[in-house]
Amino acid sequence: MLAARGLSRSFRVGASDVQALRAVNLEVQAGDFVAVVGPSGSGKSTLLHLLGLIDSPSRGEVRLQGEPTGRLGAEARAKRRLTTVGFIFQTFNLLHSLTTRENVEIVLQLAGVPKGERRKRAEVLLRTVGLGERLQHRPASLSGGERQRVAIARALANQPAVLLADEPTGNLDSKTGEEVVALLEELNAGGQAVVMVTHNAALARRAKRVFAMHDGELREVTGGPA
Amino acid sequence: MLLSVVTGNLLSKKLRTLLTVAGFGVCVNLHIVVTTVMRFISEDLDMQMQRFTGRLVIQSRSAAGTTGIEWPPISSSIPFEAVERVLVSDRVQRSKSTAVSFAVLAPPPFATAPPEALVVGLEIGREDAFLAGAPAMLGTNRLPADSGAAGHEPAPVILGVLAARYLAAQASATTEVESPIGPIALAAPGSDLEIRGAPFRVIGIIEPQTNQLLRSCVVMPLESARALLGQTETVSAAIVTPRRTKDIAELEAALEASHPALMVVSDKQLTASARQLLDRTQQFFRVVRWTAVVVAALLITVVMFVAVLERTKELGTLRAIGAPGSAITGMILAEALLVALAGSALGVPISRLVIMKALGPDAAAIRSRRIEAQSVGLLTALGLLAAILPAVRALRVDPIVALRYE
Repeated sequence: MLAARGLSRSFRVGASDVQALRAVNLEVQAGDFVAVVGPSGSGKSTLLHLLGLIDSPSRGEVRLQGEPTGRLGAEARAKRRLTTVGFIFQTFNLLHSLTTRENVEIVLQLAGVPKGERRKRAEVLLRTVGLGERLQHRPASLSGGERQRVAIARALANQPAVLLADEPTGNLDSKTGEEVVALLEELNAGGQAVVMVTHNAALARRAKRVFAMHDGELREVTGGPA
Repeated sequence: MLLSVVTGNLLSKKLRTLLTVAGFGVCVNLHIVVTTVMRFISEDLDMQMQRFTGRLVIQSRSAAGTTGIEWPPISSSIPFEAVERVLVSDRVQRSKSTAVSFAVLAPPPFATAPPEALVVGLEIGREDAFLAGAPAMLGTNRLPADSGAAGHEPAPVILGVLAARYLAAQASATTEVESPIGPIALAAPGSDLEIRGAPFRVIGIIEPQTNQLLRSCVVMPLESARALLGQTETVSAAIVTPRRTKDIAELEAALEASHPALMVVSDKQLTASARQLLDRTQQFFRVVRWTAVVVAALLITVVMFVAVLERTKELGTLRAIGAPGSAITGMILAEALLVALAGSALGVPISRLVIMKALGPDAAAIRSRRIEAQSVGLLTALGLLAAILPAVRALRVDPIVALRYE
């Protein structure tokens, strides 16, 4: 469903090239829960950006639902991000001028879902993540955990093939972080594929498969394709 | 939803939004006012010139103006005796030709406009040479046949509406008439007033739908005007109508040959001279008008650029979650459009107030919804064009960079 083959990414910093990813291979199947663990600067987020088509690899290829993505233009990549991938960010990245419900609805609107249907779907999703009573709240009046739940609901709105979570608990206290991971587990139990990057080894162990990232190289440490 | 993001962004920076809207509104106001005044001056000049089609104006060569032609020839002075000789010529239609005395009573409301009140002394029975059939709104548009006689006091005056308003304060009675700016008080027909210490009686008010020159005139018998202005042996000018319209060039040549000391100005020369003066004024107005347009466009560009830079995280997030480029550019353009429309909503009523204040009773007649719509359309369209650059910048926001924003 989501596959990375020989994925490399280098960045030009001053006069030298920094190799952020080195020939990474990864395959994510439907229903997978993959955690990538590693220290800061190891290349975890770069991998997630490449998997989510936000960034382009220097070498190698990402295949999304069997489709090679290397030759896709900016707009086609944006469309895949909208419909096939759901992003969850460390800093939530909600739109502050919109209510909780509108933050979820916006991705449905961008995907062309009719107004009545998108409102219904947003409410169902927010109830699923436990925010059924907070539909009209704006992000500023929500706690960190609640904001991340809104972000998760937004990521799920277009029924993506895979959820990509970049340090989803990084800005949360341990109890709230625990709740967010529990929610991801619950979604995964329902068949949702999840790829989560984290520097928290304890949280990573909750995934079905754990990979370690070190200096741009990815190594599987537990689990494996079923 | 995207519109909610746009309005939310505008409301989150209230002061900046307000200042931008106000700035855009000032530009819209300026554009409307200047365009309206330009049109007013041009149309009014056309109307004035129309009334002098087929006539010659005789004035002194020392008159002001780059071509030596002055209209109205206020500073001109020619011997009355010479004018009398011209007027008795066989080729002159006497009933539509007259000696004229001009003097300024009140200065013009704006450059290039005739004075707000202008003394126009005309020969009795030859008012049509100047009034060209302009009807009376109140009273009469004809000076009584015996009013030029010595001892006939007070002398009669026929007033243009602007002059009647100007002289209302000193008139023994006023009348209120409806005008586009509401009721205005005019010196009433039958009322007495003093002009430069001499007594006069108002006998009529000229219909205002004529031109600025007729709206500002204080028509009185030539003899009264000459006495008032101390023109013992002179008058300001003469308006001459040929017996047959086709003879105008011939009459002009004959008058120039027989009276080399006088300047004979044809209707075409008068129009050309007035147009030349008008062109210079219009040139200045055009600069003001385009400055308003450029300032409005720059304002939108700068403000939208700042807005895009401030919202890197939001725009990057939208890009990251899959917003197409059209949605991003659409948001920026929608924001520019809202600012432009709000600015226009502010600028249009201000322009109406300014025009009303500056041009008084003429205001509503010259105010044009078409000009308002054209100005709003032009500035809004340019505002949108000016927002394209910031919109392209917004499109280039790298979501990766944006996601690193804290």
